[in-house]
Amino acid sequence: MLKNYIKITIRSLWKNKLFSFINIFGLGVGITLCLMMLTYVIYEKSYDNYQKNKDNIYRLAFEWGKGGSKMLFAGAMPALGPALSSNYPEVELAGRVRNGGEDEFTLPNNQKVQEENFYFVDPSILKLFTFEFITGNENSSLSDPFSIILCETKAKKYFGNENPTGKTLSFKDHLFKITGVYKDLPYNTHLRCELLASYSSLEAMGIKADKPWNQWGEDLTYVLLKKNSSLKDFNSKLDELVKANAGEQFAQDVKFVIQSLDDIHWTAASFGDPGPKGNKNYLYIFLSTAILVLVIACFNFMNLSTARYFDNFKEVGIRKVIGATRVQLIKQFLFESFSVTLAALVFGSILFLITYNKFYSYLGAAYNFNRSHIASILVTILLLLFVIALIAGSYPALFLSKFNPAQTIKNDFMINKKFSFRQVSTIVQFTFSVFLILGTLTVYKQIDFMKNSDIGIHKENVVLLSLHQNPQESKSNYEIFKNELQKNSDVLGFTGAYTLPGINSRFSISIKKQDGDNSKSSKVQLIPADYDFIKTLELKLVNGRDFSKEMSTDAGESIIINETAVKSLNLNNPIGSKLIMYGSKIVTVIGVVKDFHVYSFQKKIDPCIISINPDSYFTYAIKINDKNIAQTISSIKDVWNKIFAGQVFEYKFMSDAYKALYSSEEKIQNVLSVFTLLAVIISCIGLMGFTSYVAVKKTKEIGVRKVFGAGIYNIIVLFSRQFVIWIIAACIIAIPVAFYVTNKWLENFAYRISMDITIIIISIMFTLLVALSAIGYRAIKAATANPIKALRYE
Amino acid sequence: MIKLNNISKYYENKFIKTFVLRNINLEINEGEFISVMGPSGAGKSTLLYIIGMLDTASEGEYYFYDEPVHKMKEKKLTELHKSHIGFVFQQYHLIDELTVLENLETPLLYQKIKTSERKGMVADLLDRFNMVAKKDLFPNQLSGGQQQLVAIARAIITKPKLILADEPTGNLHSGQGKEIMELLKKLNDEGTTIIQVTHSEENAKYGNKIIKLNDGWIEK
Repeated sequence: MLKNYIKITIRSLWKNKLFSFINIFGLGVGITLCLMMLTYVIYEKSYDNYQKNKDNIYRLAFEWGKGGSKMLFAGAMPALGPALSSNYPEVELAGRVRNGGEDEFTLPNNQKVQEENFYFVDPSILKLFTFEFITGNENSSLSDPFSIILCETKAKKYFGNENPTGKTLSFKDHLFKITGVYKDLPYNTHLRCELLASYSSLEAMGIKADKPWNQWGEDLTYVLLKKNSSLKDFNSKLDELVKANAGEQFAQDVKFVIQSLDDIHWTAASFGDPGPKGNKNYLYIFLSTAILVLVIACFNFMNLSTARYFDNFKEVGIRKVIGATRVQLIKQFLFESFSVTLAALVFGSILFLITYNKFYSYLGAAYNFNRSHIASILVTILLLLFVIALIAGSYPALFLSKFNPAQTIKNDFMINKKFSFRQVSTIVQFTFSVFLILGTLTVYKQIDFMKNSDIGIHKENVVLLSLHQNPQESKSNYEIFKNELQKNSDVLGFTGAYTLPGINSRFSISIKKQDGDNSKSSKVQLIPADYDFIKTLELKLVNGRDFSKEMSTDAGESIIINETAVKSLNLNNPIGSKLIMYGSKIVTVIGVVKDFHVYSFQKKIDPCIISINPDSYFTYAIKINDKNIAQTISSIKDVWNKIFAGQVFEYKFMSDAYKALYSSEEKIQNVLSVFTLLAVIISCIGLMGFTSYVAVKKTKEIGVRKVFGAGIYNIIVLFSRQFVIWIIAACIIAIPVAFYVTNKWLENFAYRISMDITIIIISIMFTLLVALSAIGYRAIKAATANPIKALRYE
Repeated sequence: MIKLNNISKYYENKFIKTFVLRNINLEINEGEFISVMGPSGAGKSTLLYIIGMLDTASEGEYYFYDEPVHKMKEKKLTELHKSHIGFVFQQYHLIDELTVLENLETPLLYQKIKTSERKGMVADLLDRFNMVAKKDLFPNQLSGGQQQLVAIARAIITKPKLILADEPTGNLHSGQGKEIMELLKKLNDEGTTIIQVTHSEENAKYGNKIIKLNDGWIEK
């Protein structure tokens, strides 16, 4: 019997190549997307899972804040790590990790290589984290200065099959001896180490912090705590430690944030955080879209299977006549649907295997299968197989096997009006498609709006640098740095400031009018900045004047405010108004600037005041000439290394930083576009298959109509009318839902597009156009056929 | 063998009953060759389907070997039908996706007959019908007469006691038709009861009894 089922299945799949193709392709693509998303969820959820000590590893992030301002740094001060290693019973291990910067390595053959994931680490890190050594070991490999260990890939890359141990790499004119090779770490770790040098090398290279308790942000500090240690107690011990070593005053502004390894991937990015950040919302969006595509494909399958089984109606009858029981027939149908689903699974899995690397590298990740994942992937695949095959197969199986054979053999069963399943499924499919199209268009428009709106700041060719030190301590260096830079003719402007676009920190204070109601104060953002802030960033002064060095009162006593602040403080004549800051300090408004976006469009522009305060210049903005960019940056770097010796030179362009604010939105947009496109394609090929089925069924009707004078136009209308009505019904259902969902998403943005009628019209037109072109070919073919041919054989 | 008492068949549509068969009383003995005749729409095929247990009567009693068919559940019906009755249609109704050999094999598969036995039965029949050379062809590669031969072979492969033939020669030209009728006659001579529906007086003569149906009634 089984052989018979197999034979029948293969032959009928072959006979109905179009249907088989549509089903296998559609389901396959749906399955590919689901696998992609499933592995992506697994990937994201298993960050740092390879670490054996995972549950007890913590990172000591460092929060620095004064007044209303707070900034979170991933790294703590260089002196912290060693201090923790002894005297704390709950600490099993502690160690520091410092980014090696962007310098090149020179291989023994003088080839130069640039490496990103290079860190200086304490020897304890090798035990704290999990490394599998191929040569060398976690006890001694990094105990001496100028020793370095490599991951397998890099070792292969540099030395081929030679044993690299004992060879040397040169970094910043120092020779590092290779003392070990370890197995590559998985991609989903927050700290991707490919080359690790001993931390003691830093000192040997002459890189040393002057005040190791008062400089922070560079040394990621990890601790392995004993099980069940109290984090609260440990945190207060840390506070004590800082107070004792860095001084009372410093300690006031400092708070430690103990991050568990699990949290690191999901918390918001802080300064110096090396790993990519996860976003659960996006996971959900991707996953649900993938499921939608699969559902659309399933509907195709059900739809076409039932349509095709009507062709087999006669066969069902014959089989009953020659002795088939209902159960035997149901078995046959299910066998067929299982076969198609299996074929789709194979196709989908192959497609997944071919494409997943591209997808992951697009999202800045790389996926490695491991055993535990494969188990859950296989379970999902089997589950999909059963669910899809049962859903798609059981309807025709139960429906058709029920019929009285006399009926099925005698009358060629026609699609009658009572049979509305097909109608429902087509409407559902197109509802999903319209929904996705609308969603994608909205995301696209919003991103376009954010990227291309005027942010009120000149952001091109502006280089941003940030300091890892209390700016009070480097006040004199700041001036030297500024003067040095101004000697370079390619540097067009320079300013220091507390915060700049693309650097996510805030400093809020309360402020009130001197002559106003005493109790009423408003919260504003304070941007302490240098005299050239407005000039460098090209803010538009709408009223009053810019800061000037000639006016002695400008430092500290004058402020410039933005338009939002004018409104929120309710100033009728802003210029010359006296305001009270910090409870008692009186300042005068000398200018008003047009609103500008310091943060992403997700946040509302705050009322904002700019004042001169050299104690707070954490970030520097350098406007440079758009020619010789690389050269200019390298000369800035030289100056930096001379003046801020021991601090890493990390720069970014303001335009990039600004773009980065939306990079995750852009990724959603692109992934969503691909998914939507696939959903539309799958819906349309389903429609195409279905139309060709109807065309065959209606050959006679069309023939008769033509004999009685119907023109091609009438026939095409006859064909498409029903589909157009269905698609419009789909639009009517999809639009309010899409409207609601996209509005929910848009609510994340303080500045957003409004959903307008054009998006809706475009979605409807697009769907109709695509659907009609899918129908059109068959419709025209049927309409232009010779009617005599259609009728002759009746 | 077959006894029909007051069998009626009607379709109810809102308040109107459309009768296809009215008060049919009929007795058929084993070994008979009956021809059912009558104009289009007289209910000939319906009668055949009811006798073949592919359709059920609206009223009346039907005894097959003294067993009350009108009281049987579907499962029992299928059982009885597949072990005792073979069908031949005007349009042959072979399964298009299967070869001649596979078409013949299918009823045996449904009866769960063992492979070795099945192969033997199919081989015998192919031999007997002179179709060994055509066993791997698909129905659409055969002429009408050949297809009907296969259909008859398929109908008798399970050795039914009763063969029901619904205008078996209706789509065939006279030469092929004659051949088919001779074959049915031969099967009848070997002991199989046959009921055929036909329009042709000539074909009706192959039988030993003619039943005329008109507007659902048996004409006396």
